[in-house]
Amino acid sequence: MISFPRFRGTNSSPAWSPDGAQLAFMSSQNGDPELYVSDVDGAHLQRLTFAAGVSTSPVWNPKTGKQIVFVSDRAGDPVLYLANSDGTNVQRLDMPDMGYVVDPSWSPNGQLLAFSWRRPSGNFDIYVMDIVSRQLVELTRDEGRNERPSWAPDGRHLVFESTRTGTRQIWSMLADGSRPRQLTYEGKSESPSWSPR
Amino acid sequence: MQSGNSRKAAVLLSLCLVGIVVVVGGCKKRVASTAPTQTIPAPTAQPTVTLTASPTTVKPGASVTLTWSSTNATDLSIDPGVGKVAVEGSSPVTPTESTTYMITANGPGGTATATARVTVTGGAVAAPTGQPAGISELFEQNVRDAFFDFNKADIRSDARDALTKDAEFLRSYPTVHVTIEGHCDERGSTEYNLGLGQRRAQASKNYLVSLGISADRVDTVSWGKERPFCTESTEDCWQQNRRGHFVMAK
Repeated sequence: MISFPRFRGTNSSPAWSPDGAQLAFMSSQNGDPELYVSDVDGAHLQRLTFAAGVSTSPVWNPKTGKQIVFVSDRAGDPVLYLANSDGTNVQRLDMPDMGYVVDPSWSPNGQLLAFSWRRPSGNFDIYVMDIVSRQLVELTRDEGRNERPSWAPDGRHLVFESTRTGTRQIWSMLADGSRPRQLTYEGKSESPSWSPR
Repeated sequence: MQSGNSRKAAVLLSLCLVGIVVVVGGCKKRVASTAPTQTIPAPTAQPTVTLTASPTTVKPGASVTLTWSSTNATDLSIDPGVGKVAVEGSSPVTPTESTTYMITANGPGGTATATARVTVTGGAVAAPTGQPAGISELFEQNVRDAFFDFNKADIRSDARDALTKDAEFLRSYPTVHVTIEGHCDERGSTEYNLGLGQRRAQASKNYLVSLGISADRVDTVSWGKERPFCTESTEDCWQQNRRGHFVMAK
């Protein structure tokens, strides 16, 4: 067990760095919810974001550890931003339409980003973006709310949550959206996370 | 202090355990399917429930009627003081102090809750300073929550009016401390709503501080979308859940 300091305010959304030595997380310890990074024991705390609004859901590029993607509503609706892992060079990941973009998950090879996108007139659906070309692929469509994608270590499967059967349950699918498979059936199940290996 | 390698091992073990729970837990019923439209089991509908109180403001000892209805629920109960109830109906209650009644509906598709607040007035006497008897009742009668627009933490004109009255109350009772809970509607991710709820709580606090209330008397916490006041997927319900909720600190 590793102890972690109790910072003031709301602290959530922790994400491991690929080498397991650091955590990026959201903290409101200084007012607005911003991103911070620290060692796994809380030492060497460093603030990464400086923008009015919420910044949360950081994910590291698992291949290089040199970039993070996160969610921020600094310009209105929450959307995705790409930055260096020290917080510099922040770029908005523009979409071809308006909407609400959350739940980023980086593929193990560092090339693809899965996320959920609520388009202005639609449901939450899961998309994949090529981080270099910014090309988008829609993986789910019009079957309930589909959110919280998480990559399998093989880079070929995703696990996610969906309300397509009426209740929120865990599903998996191939990374092209095919072969959906329901994994849970009872109660309400959400926020899946596939173990890295 | 752990060495770097053992710490890393502990971290990897923790991650693997989480993943195993998720993947193994989900594998007990596998469905082989090859296309998005195939072999989806029949849906198990999630319960819905509503609860109202009439009247919502009474003198101590007066009767109030709670009325409820539900869908897709098999087991319902109302707290405090009522217990198990039918899937729909009404029941008289006689609260002696301001009370929030909560109905919990369980069914094959999950759990839903709804609340109804009854304010009991006239039982307390205001005192000019200090911590008077019945301060909880006075707090319930006078302190109002601040409501917000979708995706926003800006103080609206109605929230400004509510917070101005809240500040007046806090000035009148200088020993009272409050916690402002930031709440959000069900739309959006859990993580984003935790951040948004924090901004709503902080914006409410900042407005009180701008009116001269000491920051030391006001704590904030975010519940995101985890503790909704209303569980239906309607704009009326969502509006109830987008709020800075005032709770008197114990």
